[in-house]
Amino acid sequence: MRRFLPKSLIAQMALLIGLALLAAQLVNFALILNEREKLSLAQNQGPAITRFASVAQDVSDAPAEFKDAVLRDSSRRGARFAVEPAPAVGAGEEREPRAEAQLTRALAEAGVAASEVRATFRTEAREPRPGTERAGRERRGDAHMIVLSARMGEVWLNGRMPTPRGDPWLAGRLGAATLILYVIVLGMTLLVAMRLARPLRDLTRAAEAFRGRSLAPEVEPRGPADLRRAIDAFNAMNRRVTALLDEKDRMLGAIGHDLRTPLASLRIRAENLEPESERQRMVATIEDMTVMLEDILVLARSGRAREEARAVDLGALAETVADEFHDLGQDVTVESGERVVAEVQPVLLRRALRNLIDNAVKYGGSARVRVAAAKGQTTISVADTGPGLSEDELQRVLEPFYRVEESRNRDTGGSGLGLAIARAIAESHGGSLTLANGGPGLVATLTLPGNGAH
Amino acid sequence: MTGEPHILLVDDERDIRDPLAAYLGRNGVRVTKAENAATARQLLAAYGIDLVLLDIMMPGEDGLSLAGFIRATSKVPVILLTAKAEETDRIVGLELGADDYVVKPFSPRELLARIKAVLRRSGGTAEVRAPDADGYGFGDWVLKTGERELVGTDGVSVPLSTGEYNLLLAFVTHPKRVLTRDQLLDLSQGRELAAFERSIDNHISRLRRKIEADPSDPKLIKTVWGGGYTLAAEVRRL
Repeated sequence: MRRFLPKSLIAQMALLIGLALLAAQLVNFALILNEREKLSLAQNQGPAITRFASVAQDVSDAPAEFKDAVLRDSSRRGARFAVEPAPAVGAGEEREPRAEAQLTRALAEAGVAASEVRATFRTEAREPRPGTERAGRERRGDAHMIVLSARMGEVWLNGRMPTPRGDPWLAGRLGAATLILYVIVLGMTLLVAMRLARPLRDLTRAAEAFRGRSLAPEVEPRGPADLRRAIDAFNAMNRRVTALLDEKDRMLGAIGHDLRTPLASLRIRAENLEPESERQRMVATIEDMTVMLEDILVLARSGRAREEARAVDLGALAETVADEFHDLGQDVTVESGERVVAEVQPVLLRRALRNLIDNAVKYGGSARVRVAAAKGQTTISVADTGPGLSEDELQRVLEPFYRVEESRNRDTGGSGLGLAIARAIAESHGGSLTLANGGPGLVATLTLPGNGAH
Repeated sequence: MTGEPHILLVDDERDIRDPLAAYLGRNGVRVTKAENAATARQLLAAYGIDLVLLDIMMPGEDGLSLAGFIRATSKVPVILLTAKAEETDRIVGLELGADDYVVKPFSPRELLARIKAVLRRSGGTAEVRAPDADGYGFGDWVLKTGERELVGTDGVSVPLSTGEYNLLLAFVTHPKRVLTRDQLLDLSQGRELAAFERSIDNHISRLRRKIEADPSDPKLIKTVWGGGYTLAAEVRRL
């Protein structure tokens, strides 16, 4: 049920206001309809009822021989009165309790004793009115009549009088008024909601796009004052975070520089070292330290890409990295199907892919690289033919500085940061890195959002 | 160049300057040391320097600024020593006209090899042209020298290795000329030592896979029988 409810501010507001308006309008509608019907009875049926009551008074006051004359005399202007043994309003007809109540009151006021009254509306074929016939001008259509009956002793006084129809458009007019009110209020609400929603959307977009770079775009403060304050606060926080990150970068740069200089000095001095075997070991150690330093700096800076993302042919990118390994005599193949293009930071992505291939070659002996695009995602997978990893290790190898147990010895080298860096780079692209045991070896898959085959 | 080449080593770190000067000195290079840009300018004016080894990160005037000055006032080749491995710094350095760079910590042997390569080039016959345009258009491609990238007319960037980039740069700066393997090696090496180790043919076939519509029937980079390779397309300087 919950999932059918709208989630956005604007839709929720529209729905709530809509429901509240609907409830209010229904009550209003009922009240107005009731009031208008009473009014209509008083205005339209009131004269007919009063006339009936006065005829009833005349008839009951008149001596028996004049009763017929009184009735005839009263039957004018489309009205017909008659004293009959049975009521004109049959027992099966739909009766008008309100009109009956009014009739009872009117008869009582006129001093006529009626033990029972009946009232109904009836539509009858129009007859030419006696006395007002106009040749050739038959009125067409039906007449709306009010039919009243009052029991006077043993007989009934029946009266049929034309009466204006109740306003047939009343419900329609009320409905139209409601609809107009609805449209106006709802329109205003939506306008206000949109005024709220637009700056909120800007804020969301800015937060999503935030990469910690100095060029973080300021969100334009607009909308109501409290929203403006939130946006100002967001911008200020943005600036503080960016300043902190800039400071971190400066510090890392300084650390990098300060550590590289003694390493470089060591590396130069090592060249004079004897014997040769000792020299080689020392050079290897210095190179390991250098790689580690470099990896730590890259990881610490990840997510702070200075590189602009651009449309890159990922197949060619994979080939370029694979070629680096070919030149070292490694078994790395790239399966390229159709051309896959994605918006990426090519230098960073090359590093991520290089780390994955490096792992595959080191632990699995070879690497098969596949670039594919499907369902709005781009994947670069690197499969090896090694022993794979246990479920437990699959999770842990992504942690910084974690190394598979048997590789703790320095022979396989590395800082233990390769996969962590690859993951950080994938995440800075809004993607992910997943590891899985596939067939014999390990499959590392970089998933990047968006784009696809060209 | 008579006898030992004379190199000016500019680095503010004594820990680098002294052992490096000693190493190079033992390997047949005359080294003059400077600890900042101002001293380097004086020494440059006073001596016939054959090559400048220049640290980028120095207090006061930095190496990039000095490299710009040297390039603007002389033809003395410059190799940058950089502590930053970041791609952007490399590009800026090379744009300023540096002939090569090494990233600290570097192998002194590798540095020596590069020094020799740069000296051989500057004293030798092969004519190295610094890129004289922001980009070169040929066929459906644009080679951008600022970003050092190859972009198709559809706006898609095709990654190149440093060797492939240098090779392509050699072609677009020498359009319609037949370049022998040796000339290509001279024109494209230096900046990346790895280029020594790979064969030019290998690079050409990799390049063709990336830029030719049909790599088995190349229309852009053509093989010239017995001669070498030539870029057959018209080159537009951008």
